[in-house]
Amino acid sequence: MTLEKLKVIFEEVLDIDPGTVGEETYVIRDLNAESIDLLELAVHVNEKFRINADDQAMFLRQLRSHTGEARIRGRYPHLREGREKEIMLDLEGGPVLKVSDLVDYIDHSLAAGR
Amino acid sequence: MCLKYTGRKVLILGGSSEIGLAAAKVLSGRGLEVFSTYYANQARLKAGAAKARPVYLDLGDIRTFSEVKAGSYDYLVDLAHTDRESLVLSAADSGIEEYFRTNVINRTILLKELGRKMLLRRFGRLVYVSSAALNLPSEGQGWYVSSKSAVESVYRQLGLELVKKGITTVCLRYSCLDGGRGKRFLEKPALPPIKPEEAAGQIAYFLSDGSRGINAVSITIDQGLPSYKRKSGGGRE
Repeated sequence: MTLEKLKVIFEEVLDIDPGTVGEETYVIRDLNAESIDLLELAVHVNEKFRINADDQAMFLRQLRSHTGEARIRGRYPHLREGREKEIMLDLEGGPVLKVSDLVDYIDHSLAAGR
Repeated sequence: MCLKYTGRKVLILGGSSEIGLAAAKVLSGRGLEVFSTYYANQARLKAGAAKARPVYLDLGDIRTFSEVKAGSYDYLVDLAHTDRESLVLSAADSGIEEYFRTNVINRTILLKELGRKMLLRRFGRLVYVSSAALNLPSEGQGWYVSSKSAVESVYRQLGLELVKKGITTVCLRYSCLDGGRGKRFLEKPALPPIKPEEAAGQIAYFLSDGSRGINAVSITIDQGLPSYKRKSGGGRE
């Protein structure tokens, strides 16, 4: 459900075919999202999911200041299990943010709101 | 001049000022839906611009921002600024903090909210009414020009960052206005002072579709300020 709604947002913000977006898609590496696109994405997420997203946390900003699996888990508690290890191994490849991270952030925020 | 507007709703910050009242009249006359903020002068707002919807806002208190934040606007005309004239070294510490919190920090918080709403629709035009004092300050205007300068920087940066998403900004550096606090700095201008209605007409142009290529810049409208500006406006605290 969350992924489907996110796909619609990606379509609006990045003007892309929602069929090209999956949980494993990298937001910056694959979709070429720029900072302004992420801002627009955050505004739409807030609006559509009725949450007050923290852009820093949702987009894993300042990740490089929090490297180390325990620190990543502490700073970004919304990430699914094992994701911190995957991120550590993936850092050299560029921005690690995946669509699944956004899904997890939104679901985590919705659960916290409830 | 035939001006076209893609958007419909305009918010005027500082709507009960002389230019704010004139702008509300001109813009509502051009078919826009006008919302004007007031702080201490609701009665004046009602008397001067019957077609503007009054919205209470105290720039000094972010708790009063909720009504403005609840709305969404296509255009913003920003005229709000509190008065502080003193020599730089004679201002009280608490006064400096309050002045910058009100005019720079709180305004930026408000702009963030309004700008994010505009992003949702990928449309927005923001006009910040600044002052030609930034080009040629007088004694006693240090706090005024430094805060205005900071705010101009925010507006220009917004225009730069958001233009890809259809949101643009322009800052208008006025002087020789026949209204507001600028009056006391003027002597023998070569041309008649700019009337609030004239300034309102100019603002109407800078909101219109035809002006949107003018983005992230400051434009001076001062009739040649250096030729007639007094050295000091009186330097009152």
